[in-house]
Amino acid sequence: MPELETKITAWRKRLSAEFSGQTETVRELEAHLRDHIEAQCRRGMTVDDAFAQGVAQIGQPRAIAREFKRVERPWFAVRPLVVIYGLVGMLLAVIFALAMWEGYFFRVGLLGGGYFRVYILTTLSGYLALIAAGLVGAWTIASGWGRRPPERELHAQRREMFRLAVASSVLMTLGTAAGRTYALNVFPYRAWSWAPAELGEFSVLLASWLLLLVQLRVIVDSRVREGLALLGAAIVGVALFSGMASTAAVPIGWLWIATVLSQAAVALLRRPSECPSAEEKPNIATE
Amino acid sequence: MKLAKDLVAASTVPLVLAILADGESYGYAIIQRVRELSDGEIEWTDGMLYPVLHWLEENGQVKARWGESDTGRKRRYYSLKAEGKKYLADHKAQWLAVHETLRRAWRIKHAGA
Repeated sequence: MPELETKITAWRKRLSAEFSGQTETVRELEAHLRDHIEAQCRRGMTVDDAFAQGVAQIGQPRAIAREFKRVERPWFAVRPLVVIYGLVGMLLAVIFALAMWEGYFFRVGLLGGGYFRVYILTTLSGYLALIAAGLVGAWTIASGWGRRPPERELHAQRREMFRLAVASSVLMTLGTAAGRTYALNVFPYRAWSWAPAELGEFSVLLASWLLLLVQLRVIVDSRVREGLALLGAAIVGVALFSGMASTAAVPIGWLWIATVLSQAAVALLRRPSECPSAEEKPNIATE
Repeated sequence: MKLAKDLVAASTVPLVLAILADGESYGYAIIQRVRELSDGEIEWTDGMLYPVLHWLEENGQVKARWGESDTGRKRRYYSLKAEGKKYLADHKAQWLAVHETLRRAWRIKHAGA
């Protein structure tokens, strides 16, 4: 038996070289080999033969490792929504902490007027929804890089992107309406002043609407969809690079990145195919 | 008779899920059960079962836990989750439909021949 242990240890080392960092998988394959040896020895086979047969039946470690790589993804790719909403939640916590630190809420309270509060809260939430859409876009692009994602994943991406586009466009619309109503109350006849904050908000509002529009089923032509997506990304880009929206009140740079990612993803996300691809499943067949 | 590679690949997931529907099991036992059920017609490369099991786990169709064999060795046991049961039911209906269609087509051919 010590001889068998030496053989198993040598085999495990060869396996570990292919499965770096996957100790659980190596343990599991080793358990399989030991199960085989145990079963065959009970049937009268010699330990050496049972070991040789078990190793041969398990197959080439490199081929198994390649198959694992094809089907397995890191945890952040398995639970992308946890990562996305976790990041957005952290961002919200930082903004809230900074605002408390600066006494911002106190000043907002002083500036008063329900419209101003609604304006701040809805616009901020709209920005966060768009940033989350950008993260979903990054996930969509990354998960589709060099492979066709499983139908389940595509479905989750479409669903989340649609929800976030609805959320950001509704929130940005409400925010803009509340902001303009507030401005009209404070500065009669001046609801719009071409200030950087207003231009920035307006570009994000248009981009949000376009993000929603390209996902609606009324747009059937993929060229129209891609054109609208490009327009959505370009609008915020113009606001950013022309300097028209340069103000601390609008995180225009981040919003532009989010817009580019989300619009690129919706342009890439095709309609669900009728047949799930066979490639997405692991292939067990012997060579 | 050696089954075509595509056919083996397509039947893997429903077969693994069907075996797990009978109760919790582990890699080696699943492979033995497949050999037994197919009278040795379905040949798998044993190691290739594990990417399938991990893929099913990742997709929420099965769950896994480390347990012990009768002799006290560690083994990873798999069991079906609700989503796996649903997937199996859907696929069972599809496979039966294919089976029935082929059966009828061949019967008609034989009758006509």
